[in-house]
Amino acid sequence: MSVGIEAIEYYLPERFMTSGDLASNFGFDIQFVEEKIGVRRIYIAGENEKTSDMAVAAIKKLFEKRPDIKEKIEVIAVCTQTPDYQLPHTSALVQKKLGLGMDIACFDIGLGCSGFVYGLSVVKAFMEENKMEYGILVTAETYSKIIDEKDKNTKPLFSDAAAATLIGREPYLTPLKFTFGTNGNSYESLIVRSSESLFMDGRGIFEFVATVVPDDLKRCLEINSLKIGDIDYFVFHQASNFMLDTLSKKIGVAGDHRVLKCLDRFGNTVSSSIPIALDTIKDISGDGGLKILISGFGVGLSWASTILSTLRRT
Amino acid sequence: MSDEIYKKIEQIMKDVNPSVKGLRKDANLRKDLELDSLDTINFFFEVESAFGIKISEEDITETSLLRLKRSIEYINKKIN
Repeated sequence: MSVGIEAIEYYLPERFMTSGDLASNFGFDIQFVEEKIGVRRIYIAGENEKTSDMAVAAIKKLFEKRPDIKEKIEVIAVCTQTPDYQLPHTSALVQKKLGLGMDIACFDIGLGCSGFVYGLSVVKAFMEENKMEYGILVTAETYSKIIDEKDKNTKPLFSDAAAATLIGREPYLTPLKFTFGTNGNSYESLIVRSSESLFMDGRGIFEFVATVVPDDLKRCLEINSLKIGDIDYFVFHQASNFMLDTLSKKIGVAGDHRVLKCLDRFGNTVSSSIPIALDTIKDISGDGGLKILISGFGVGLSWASTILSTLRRT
Repeated sequence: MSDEIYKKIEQIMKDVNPSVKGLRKDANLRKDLELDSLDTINFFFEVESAFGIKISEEDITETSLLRLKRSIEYINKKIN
């Protein structure tokens, strides 16, 4: 059996803000926050809560669900752009906090919204190359610590979260072929310059989502010999409702029930938005024969897509 | 030429905000046509695509391109 996703668990911090809080803080109409941005709640890490703490909390939930795998984990990759320290890598802290043995590979992946899809490919290939049985891809961000509380472009959107994805050889979701892309010319579209807060060029990001990402989705379908009609779910990075609607419109699935939206419950959780969204689909099983198109896109600019298949068992 | 531009803009506006009924040339995109900040981004993106022009961020202000009449004049100038 090929390597793929066996389980997903996620962690949300205790603190949160509601759409009402955001509307009153920024002078927005609540309808704008809930329908256009698409957010009813965003989560904020505790004052002393670090990215590694959230990653550990998500992995612990995974271990509760699958106690058999704790001693068998051979690799942990942490995808984050808000590490605890500039160095060392956050995954080393995660290994320590979980009390895992030293015979484990740990590394970080420094990507944002495309990070889950990239990470899935990286960990899968790493495990296959090194004949490993179990690995964890954990996506974790504390963007609240790099956001200006008064910035109406970013504060109502981004949410702190971590998601732990168990990668193994008895998957219920198996990735097919991947597409990847980068446009470093637009590196300033989403950026944290030293000692500054997160800056987002909304117009630049919109243009990217409306032009580059639809082409990538078409390419992903093409290399997997699939058509839009073959897809059971579209799980795009939950950027904002407005972006999801734009993207859906550009590929001809506007208003389609197959386009999954869970942004209202979680906010834009960056690289965790896809695994969290996947976890909300309740009818996935290993024998479902479903095809799920996942696509992550954002800071870099960077993008990646693949199809997850729930192979029908014979 | 400005009538052709107006017709294209009318179509774009219908897509961006279907609730807009009737376009007055002196309308303000935000105040009269009730485009919010995200609709405005979408509107100018579609205008750029439709006319093959690039609109700089600095030109999108209350006294310039947020006025429909000014937008039409701007597009006319850019495409000629």
